[in-house]
Amino acid sequence: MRTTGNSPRILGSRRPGRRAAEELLDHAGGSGAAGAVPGAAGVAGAANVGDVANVAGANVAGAAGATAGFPPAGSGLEVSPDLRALARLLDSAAGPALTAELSGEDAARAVFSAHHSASATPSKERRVFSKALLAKTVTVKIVVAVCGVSVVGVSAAAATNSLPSGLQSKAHSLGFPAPKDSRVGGTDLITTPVGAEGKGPAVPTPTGAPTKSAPPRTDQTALDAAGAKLLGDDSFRLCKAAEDGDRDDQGHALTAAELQKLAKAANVPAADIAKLQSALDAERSEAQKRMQEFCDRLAQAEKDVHDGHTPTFPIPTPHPGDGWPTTWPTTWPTKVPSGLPTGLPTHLPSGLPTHLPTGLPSGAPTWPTGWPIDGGPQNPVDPIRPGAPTASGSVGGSQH
Amino acid sequence: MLDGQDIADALAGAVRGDEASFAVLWRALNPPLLRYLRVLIPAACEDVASETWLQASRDLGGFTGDAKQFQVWLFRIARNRAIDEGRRNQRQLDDPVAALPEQRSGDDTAEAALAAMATRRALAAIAELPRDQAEAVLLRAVAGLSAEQAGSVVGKRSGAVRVAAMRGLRTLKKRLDKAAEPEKAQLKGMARTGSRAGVTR
Repeated sequence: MRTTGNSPRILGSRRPGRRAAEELLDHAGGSGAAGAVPGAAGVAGAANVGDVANVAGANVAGAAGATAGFPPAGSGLEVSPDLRALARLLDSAAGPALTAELSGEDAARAVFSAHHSASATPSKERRVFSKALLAKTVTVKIVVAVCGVSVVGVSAAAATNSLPSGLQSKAHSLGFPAPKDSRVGGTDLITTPVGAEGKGPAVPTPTGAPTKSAPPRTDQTALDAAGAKLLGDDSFRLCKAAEDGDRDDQGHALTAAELQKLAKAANVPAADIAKLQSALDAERSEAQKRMQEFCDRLAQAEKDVHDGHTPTFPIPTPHPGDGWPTTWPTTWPTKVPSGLPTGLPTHLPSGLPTHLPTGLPSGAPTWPTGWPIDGGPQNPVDPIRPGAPTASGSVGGSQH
Repeated sequence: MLDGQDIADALAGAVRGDEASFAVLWRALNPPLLRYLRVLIPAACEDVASETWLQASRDLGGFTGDAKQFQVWLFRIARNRAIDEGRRNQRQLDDPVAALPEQRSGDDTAEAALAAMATRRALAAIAELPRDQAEAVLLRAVAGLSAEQAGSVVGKRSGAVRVAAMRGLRTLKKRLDKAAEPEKAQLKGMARTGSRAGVTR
């Protein structure tokens, strides 16, 4: 008879159906060997003992128990006699723990302790310690970062000559770098080559429109300020002269000293300044370009002041009464003045003058006559050089 | 006997790092683990069990789940370790199960010895089943896992585990019946002989 897993008679059938198998497996050994601990009342009861005793020497247990009328399986599941042997076999397989199966407990505990000794019991202390250590580390790092930023900031300020003069000199004395190409502590301008060509300030546009954001204060700005201060009131005159072929407004050529002063203000390298003796020398070297750029920046700064903007660097105040222009053109004129004649004259005077003056003008002096040294009208004598020959070819005087 | 709550408490303690809780857990789960491994890889079952507990101890701190999930996790580790070991040693995983080593202890009694013998015989009978059926029967009957949990261990669906377990039980039933036939015949013969003697008398 074929049985199905859903048959209520399954536990009494000869072949275990699906349901019977499930129930057998579910009830094997009570809750299985997982719940068995040494000393607990396991499922190894008299039934198992009887099974083993009856089938000793065979690989199948419980067969004899089923037929010998042993009590039900240790799980307490009521099964038919046909499946009782199978139930007892499963109970035996899920029997209580054997001594051999629990022999490695010490080793297992040692392994567990080794893994968790550092993190189990002292974990709280270690967390507290870690928190304190973390807080300390973070604090130290913050302090170091603040100190580092401060030192770097002071150093940068000292290098750009941004500190007040007293602090600037103190910073310099403490070892902070001095501005490369500017005055330090009110000393004269250092005429070393400019090393920050690429990081110069944003030169204003030729149109004079200031940019929205103010250009950063850089070394070049500081150098320009120092140069303008060095030139003082001469800055505009020298720059104007430099533009007009190194001649000032009165047509005088710039002297070598003035040229060198302008070059010094424009941060021309010292070696080039020493070679500057004339405008020609300046044109041969880079000095002319530097001076021109410096003057352009100076003009732009002056224009900013005039327009009410803040100049990129302080400039000396022009004196209106000096006759110098108070504004500085930043662009070349594009139109010729309209009042001047253009082209060649179209009407030239023609012909010779028709009326020539006749006679001497009245009141003209006449030659004196009758001087004592005069030889008479026939032998006139040069009144200025008496010994000189006269127009007639004779020599007055001592020919006789 | 430990119930599910006891194991759950032990698991919680072991996760926190409590050694005593881990010992309770080990005592409850190492026997079925060893029996399962004894069927999978009889020659190195104890080594594989040690490796399994080693890995479980190492990763227990990060385990999240209940007692049954821990059991599934533990048996899955054991199965993977057994497969690795079998590949390494080129052993057949379905070799006949080796006999449990006999160990003497002070409190060894006759009952315990006979129980141990019965357990060994039962495991030997299960180990003679095809491997998938043996695994299904062991995980269901010995480890106490449900079909779904056993399926999680072996990587199969619960239906496949149920079918394998049922086939394994049928096979065991056949073998049990076959082994019992000579004994039945002997008992019948004894009974017949006794009745004849009674008649004769």
